[in-house]
Amino acid sequence: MKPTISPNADDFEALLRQRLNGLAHHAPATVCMPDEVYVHAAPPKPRRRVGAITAAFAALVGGIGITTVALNGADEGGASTPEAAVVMMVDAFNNQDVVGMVDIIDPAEVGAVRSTLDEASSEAQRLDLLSDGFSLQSVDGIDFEMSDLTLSTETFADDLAVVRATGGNLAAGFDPDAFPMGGHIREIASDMARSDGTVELSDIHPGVMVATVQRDGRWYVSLGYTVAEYARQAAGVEFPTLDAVTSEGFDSPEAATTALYQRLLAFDLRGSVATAAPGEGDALARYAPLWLPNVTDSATGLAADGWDLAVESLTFTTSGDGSRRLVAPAAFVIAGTVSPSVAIADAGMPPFDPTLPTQIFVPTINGESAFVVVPVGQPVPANVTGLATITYEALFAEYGDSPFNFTSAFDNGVVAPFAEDPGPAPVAPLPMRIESDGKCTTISGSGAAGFFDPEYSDVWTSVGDEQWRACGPSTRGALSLASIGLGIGGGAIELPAIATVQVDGRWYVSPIATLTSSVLQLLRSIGSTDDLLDSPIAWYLYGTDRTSIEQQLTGGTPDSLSAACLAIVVVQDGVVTGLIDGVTGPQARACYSGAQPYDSTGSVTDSSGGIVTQATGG
Amino acid sequence: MHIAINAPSVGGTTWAGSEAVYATAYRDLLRVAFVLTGSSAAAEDVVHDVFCRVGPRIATLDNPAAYLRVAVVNQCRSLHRRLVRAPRPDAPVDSRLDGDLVELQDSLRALPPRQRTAIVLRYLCDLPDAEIADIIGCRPTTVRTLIHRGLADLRTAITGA
Repeated sequence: MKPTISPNADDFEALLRQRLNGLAHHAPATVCMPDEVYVHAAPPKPRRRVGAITAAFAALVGGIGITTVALNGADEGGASTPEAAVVMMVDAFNNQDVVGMVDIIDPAEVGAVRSTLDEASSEAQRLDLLSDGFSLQSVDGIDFEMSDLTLSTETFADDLAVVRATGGNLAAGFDPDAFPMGGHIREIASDMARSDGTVELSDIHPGVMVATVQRDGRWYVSLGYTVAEYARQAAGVEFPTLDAVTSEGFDSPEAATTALYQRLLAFDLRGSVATAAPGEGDALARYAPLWLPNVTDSATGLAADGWDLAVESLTFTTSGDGSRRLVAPAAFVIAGTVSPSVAIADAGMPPFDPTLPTQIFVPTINGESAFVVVPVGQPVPANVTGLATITYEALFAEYGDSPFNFTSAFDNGVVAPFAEDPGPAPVAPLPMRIESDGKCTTISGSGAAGFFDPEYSDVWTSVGDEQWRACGPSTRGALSLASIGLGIGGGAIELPAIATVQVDGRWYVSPIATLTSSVLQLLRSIGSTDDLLDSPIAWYLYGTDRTSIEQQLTGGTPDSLSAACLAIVVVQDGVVTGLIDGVTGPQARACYSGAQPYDSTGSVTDSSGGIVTQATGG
Repeated sequence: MHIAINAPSVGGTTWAGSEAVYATAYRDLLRVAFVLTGSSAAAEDVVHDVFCRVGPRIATLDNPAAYLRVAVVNQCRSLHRRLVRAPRPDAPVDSRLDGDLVELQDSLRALPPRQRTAIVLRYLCDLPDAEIADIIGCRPTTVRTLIHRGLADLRTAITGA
């Protein structure tokens, strides 16, 4: 029989305290003194080996046998062997200890990663994507464990070895209740269930491997080399034997940044790689000989085709201290010429040919195809209303595959005009100028007209003869510069901020920090949780963004919408005219996730799948 | 081959030269680990492993006892994760424990790990909310919530109220 205990809080807490101490009294009494705490040292490894080495991960994770101390070999950074470095990484991985994983990363890279990780997690907490309880030292709710791991190591150079998992298992689990997601994410992921799974590492394509580098006699995991090795092996090419690109330092962070911009715009990719910091950029420099020849050939072809752009009038905003600075362009001008091919790349429909008959597609209410045919020599009507039409089958039977002019009519019968004859294609390089004052970007010149196609873009507003302007944030952010090189137009231009690092008194580009800082800049640019629906990460969070869902819903009729969508739209005269003010991300997601309002029976369903009304048509 | 870790120190005094201090700290950690894991063997493994991992760095710590406690709590949490993924048969009842303590042990085991940890750190270690928050990695207000919920569950399990 249970003793009678008062449920009074004070009494119960006193009882609990008493019983906990009683329970703890039964804890083991054996104390291992310091000199009795033994660890097994890792056996010495042969320097050159390509063979299976079974690392006792399970023992390490289970708390017996090999320990981090032993693998580490001493109270200093890194590990004594490539395998030991990987074991330390896996140990931290198994404990969801992000900081621990970072600690075994190449010291030349770690500075670029660590500060960004801390700041990015703070930004994510500010936006309520992560909870205040999130800690990089132990990420709750995500469980990873590698076990029964076997490794093989291939040494490519004195300071570079790749450790490959040849066997073992990865158990992974995600517990949304325990994961420190912020309230906002918890709101949109309320239906997420715990998931678990196990996979054999040997089944993962293209295999699991980690590149390690030796610094001052110690081995570290290298992010740069790991990425480079995956790329090299995917391409099926041999390890580079040519000399690495030599790093080139600059007097200031701004000078390093300017050099990178100039060289990228000039397609000088060897020179661009040379701006990368020694150590952090070693993988880039060492592997560059593998891809530089092909890319240089392409760049030479582009230059011969008329591409000749340079950046000028640069002003910067520089932030940071110590040996690291983030250099963001405040204003710039990019000027020069582009290939004449941009002017004819998007010529669209061919111009009218008077020697051919003309087919005009006519939309019909019942959805069947109908055409008006205009014989050669007769004028193309401005409106097809009242004219005789024939079906597609009849059209095909009469004309088959013979060439013809083609256009279509609008609902009101008006015939879409043919494209004007553009005349002879230009052959000379076209001038282009891009000018940014930090708030607006102005493009001008016939090259800009062909490259950005501003007449057909919502982004640009005409402000003069062959001159267009776009204001507000770029739609492509840090990818803008690359998009110029890749020949991708359509959107405001913004040069990416470049992270720089000082090494031995000279300034270089920090490639890893440049990538990670672009993510950080993106998070910082989001004012608050309310702005997430308008941000570039909206699609990842909600499956849509404000513009997309507004375009999707506007113009439709409310009876075709789910309840979740009806809650966020403005309806006038039976037609959806836009979104209500203050639509939240979760509301948009609820609408989007039920965006197929009709099921196969024509019933309208809400986002949770419940039938809310019966469709009246269609 | 065996390597002995360096003797850690407290406030500049090596534990090797102050065995009583070291032994007290070790036993305190065993008590916490035992209550959190419910197993003598697991508690010994956890504390032993923590000393192995932390040992060489301990001389550099301002407050090694607190640091070791954090490490033990984290290690118990890792152990719990592994047991969740690979459930083992129910641990045999420790014949040394009387009925009340077995009941408490079972009730603690039924609590979510963070609630269990908060309860143990408050009522066994007598730590303030701020320090518990640091160990668990949450805000003090969350600690109070965890303890409130944990107490409610324990009260129901133990008193039926």
